Amino acid sequence: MIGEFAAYQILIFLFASILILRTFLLYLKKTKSIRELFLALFIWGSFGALGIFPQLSGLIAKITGFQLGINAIYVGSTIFLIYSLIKVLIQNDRIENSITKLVRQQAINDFKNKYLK
Amino acid sequence: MQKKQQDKIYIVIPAFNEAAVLPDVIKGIKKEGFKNIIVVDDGSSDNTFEIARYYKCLPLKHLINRGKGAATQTGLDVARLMRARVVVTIDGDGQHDPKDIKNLVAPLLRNETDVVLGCRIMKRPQMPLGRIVINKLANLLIHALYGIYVSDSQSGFRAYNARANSLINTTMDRYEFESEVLLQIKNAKLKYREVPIKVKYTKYSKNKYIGMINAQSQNLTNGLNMFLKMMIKSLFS
Repeated sequence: MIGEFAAYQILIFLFASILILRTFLLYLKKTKSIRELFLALFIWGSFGALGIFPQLSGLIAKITGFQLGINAIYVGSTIFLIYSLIKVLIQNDRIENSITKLVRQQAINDFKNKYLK
Repeated sequence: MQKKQQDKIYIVIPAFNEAAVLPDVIKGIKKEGFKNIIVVDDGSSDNTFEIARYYKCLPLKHLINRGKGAATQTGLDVARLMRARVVVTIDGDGQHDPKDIKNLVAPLLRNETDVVLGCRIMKRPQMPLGRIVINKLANLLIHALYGIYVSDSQSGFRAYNARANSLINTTMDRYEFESEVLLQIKNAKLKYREVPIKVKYTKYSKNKYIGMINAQSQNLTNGLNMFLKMMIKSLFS
């Protein structure tokens, strides 16, 4: 315990703060959009807030109709994980498509230079 | 078929490590009178590319392997550049009989249709029973997902006229390509026709197919994979 917080609560808060700060810096460098900044603020902000004030999960459970706060956290985390997984898959697909485009374009350019000039 | 017509027909062979059989495939096609052969070497580690050059084909090389779909689309793009009137895609592993090219091309030259799909005869003993069942299931799946019924949804032996080739532009790199083409045929309202083709299941082609993991279920997963990818893309991209 550090003051009235357990060590894990401080760690969660620090972790969330670092990620928010990182996204903010990336936003300033214009490598992240405002939408991504707000998304990071919402997700990591909620994560950090739940770390510092675990009783918030009870409030969320009350609002969403879950019987226990822990259930709300489980369901929310599962949805978030599935969403993240899908985002990773899409990103991976995009990268694969970009590689294919480059490889195909390069092959066609070589062909044009050799046979169509 | 007149020579003038044959000059406007291009044959696309996507090839990945096919050096062992590619010479026979090329010779077979040339024997049928087709001289414009585009070989797309899809990042092979053997001398597929050199063989294509040696036999005076139009060779292209993908620096790294991107899959049959990507290689075929490259070939189709080049055929478009060459102002092909008809493009035929044929597998590089020697399972298709070049003698069937004329049957595929004929309806296109008569302007009766936009696309001709080569359909393997799904009867024993020409095809193993397991493969017949899986192919039929794949056809039903494609029908249920895309609303287009063909008797061989996964055949790579197909022919397109210039209009179809200009409208079809696929994004799937691997074997889902065949299913994506069917979807684009439907979306672009292209006319299509099916023509029976012969398939030679050689030891080479069988081994290669088995090497691609889970050969029997591949046709089914292709259609499903493509559907899932498209659904995820449209919902979350």
